[in-house]
Amino acid sequence: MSSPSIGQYDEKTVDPFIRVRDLSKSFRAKTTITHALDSTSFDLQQGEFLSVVGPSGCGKSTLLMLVSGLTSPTTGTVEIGGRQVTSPISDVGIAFQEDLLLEWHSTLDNILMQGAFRGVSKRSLRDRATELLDMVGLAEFADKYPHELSGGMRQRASICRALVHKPPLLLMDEPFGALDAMTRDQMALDIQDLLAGTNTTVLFITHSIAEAVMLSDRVLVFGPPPGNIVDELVVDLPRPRHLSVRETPEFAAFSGRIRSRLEAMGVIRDRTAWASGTASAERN
Amino acid sequence: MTEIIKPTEPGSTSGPVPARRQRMEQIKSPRDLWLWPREFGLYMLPVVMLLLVWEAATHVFGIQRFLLPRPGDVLSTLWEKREILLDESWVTFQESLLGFLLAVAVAVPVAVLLTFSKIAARTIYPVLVISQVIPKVAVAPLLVVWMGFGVAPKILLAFLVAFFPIVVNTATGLNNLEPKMIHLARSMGASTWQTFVYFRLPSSLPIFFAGLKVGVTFAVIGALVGEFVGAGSGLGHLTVIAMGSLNTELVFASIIVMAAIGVAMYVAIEILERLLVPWSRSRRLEQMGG
Ligand SMILES: Nc1ncnc2c1ncn2[C@@H]1O[C@H](COP(=O)(O)OP(=O)(O)OP(=O)(O)O)[C@@H](O)[C@H]1O
Ligand SMILES: [Mg+2]
Repeated sequence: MSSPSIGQYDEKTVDPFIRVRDLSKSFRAKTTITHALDSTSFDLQQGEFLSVVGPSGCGKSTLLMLVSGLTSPTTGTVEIGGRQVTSPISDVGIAFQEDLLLEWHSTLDNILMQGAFRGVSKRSLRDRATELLDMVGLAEFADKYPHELSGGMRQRASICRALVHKPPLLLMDEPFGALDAMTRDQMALDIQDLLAGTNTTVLFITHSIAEAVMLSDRVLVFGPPPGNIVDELVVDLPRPRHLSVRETPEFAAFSGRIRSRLEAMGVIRDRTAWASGTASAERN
Repeated sequence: MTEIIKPTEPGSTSGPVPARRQRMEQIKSPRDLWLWPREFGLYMLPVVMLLLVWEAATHVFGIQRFLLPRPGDVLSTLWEKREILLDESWVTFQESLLGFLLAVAVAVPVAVLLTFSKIAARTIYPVLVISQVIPKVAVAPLLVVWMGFGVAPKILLAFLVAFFPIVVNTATGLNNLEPKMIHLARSMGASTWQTFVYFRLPSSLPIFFAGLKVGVTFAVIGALVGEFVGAGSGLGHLTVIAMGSLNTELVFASIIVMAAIGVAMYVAIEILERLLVPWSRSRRLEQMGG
């Protein structure tokens, strides 16, 4: 709780916090060019929780890499806090698609690594790290090594690492991908708790429509590759949201819209729906 | 609603969590894996079997002693000549160790250079490969002619044969880091230097040690080759002299001591690895179902 924030963007509230313009990325191999992301533009306000849903291979991870400056765009720009991103940003917490834990550190030390290069002492992060580990049910695994954890545990540890230094910007790439359905629900609630009352800006990538609606202020729907935005919806369900929100008609309306959008793009194919014509009815 | 969801919380006592905890407790800590006494018996089993078959064969087929001495005779020679064997092995050991340490000292910076500079990689690699494919046995007489009968050419030969596996493995180890790990390091604010020290170096250690193990056994062979070609001391020299007088018992005795030196150095590296890279070994045992 007492750990220092390293917010270099905090002083000036730039509007919008993140500005993405005409962003595209192609990967050039010897004979082929893969268009991963195609001319994408969107804004992200400070403190906003934005989800990106879309089919596999549509450039979601690529988008995250571009926003964090870890790869450079083929065309277009990313601005964070009014400054154009040209090199990897470090005032950020990233939960990558893979857990990327270091095998030679204990779970706790893996999380404390986050402070190692920021001049934040281990001691000042320890309380917060322990608190986070406790929250995700890993308290007694703090001194275990990654090879002693299950896939889901590893992923939870990696989420703790992304959050421990209270970054102003949180980037998450399918962070619950390796979790079982129950822990996934728990993590969604925990993430919401962890972020409540903070002004953390979040870019959250997921395959799960329900998760996107549950957590987000706004959802971007990406079409099949090369990805770009095919739909955008503002989720104005009241917060805090409980799991029961998923059974409400409002929630169903949001997730129904995303699903039908993805169906219309041919991303989800429902043969019975095609046969009975309900899918086409829904598209109109 | 929340009442129904409660039991699935990770902290609660019901649900799948207790089962998970139980499983974790069965995993051995790296310290428990020091099972040397028990393992040693297994290691020695084939050696003892070989000796027995050997002894039996010399009796059954009536093989002449100067062609194939009996293990019993070899063992007694080993005891009778223990002083000279010890003296000569001390020389061989020193040559191997110096050559090996020299190889490590040169190979590590070269490997770092190979990983950091593409130009260096392009220019150094061909030289490395060529130096490796040149048979050292053919070079050994030349070195003796150039450098004399002292320890210098032996150390150089030990260095030459140990160098290649160490440099290749170290370079491979240093390239072992996933690109995604570099992304993580960057997002944590690590500089190139910090990424090297805190990410690349530790992740290279398992493969680095694999290289050391090959290198250290090679170093012994390199030193012995030097001694065979021309020397005034060392186990290789002793073997040549024993062979000249058809003292096959002594030849076999010194071969056994040569092997023992190699094994001892290998084991030393293995112990060092267990101390410095515990995560590598425990993971390996897990994969083998240990
Ligand atoms: N470094 C790379 N080199 C070459 N091609 C790449 C690279 N990274 C991604 N791609 C290609 O870009 C496309 C988009 O990849 P990306 O990883 O962004 O997809 P994604 O939406 O995250 O998919 P998933 O949901 O399966 O993780 C894919 O066709 C992929 O093959
Ligand atoms: Mg991805």
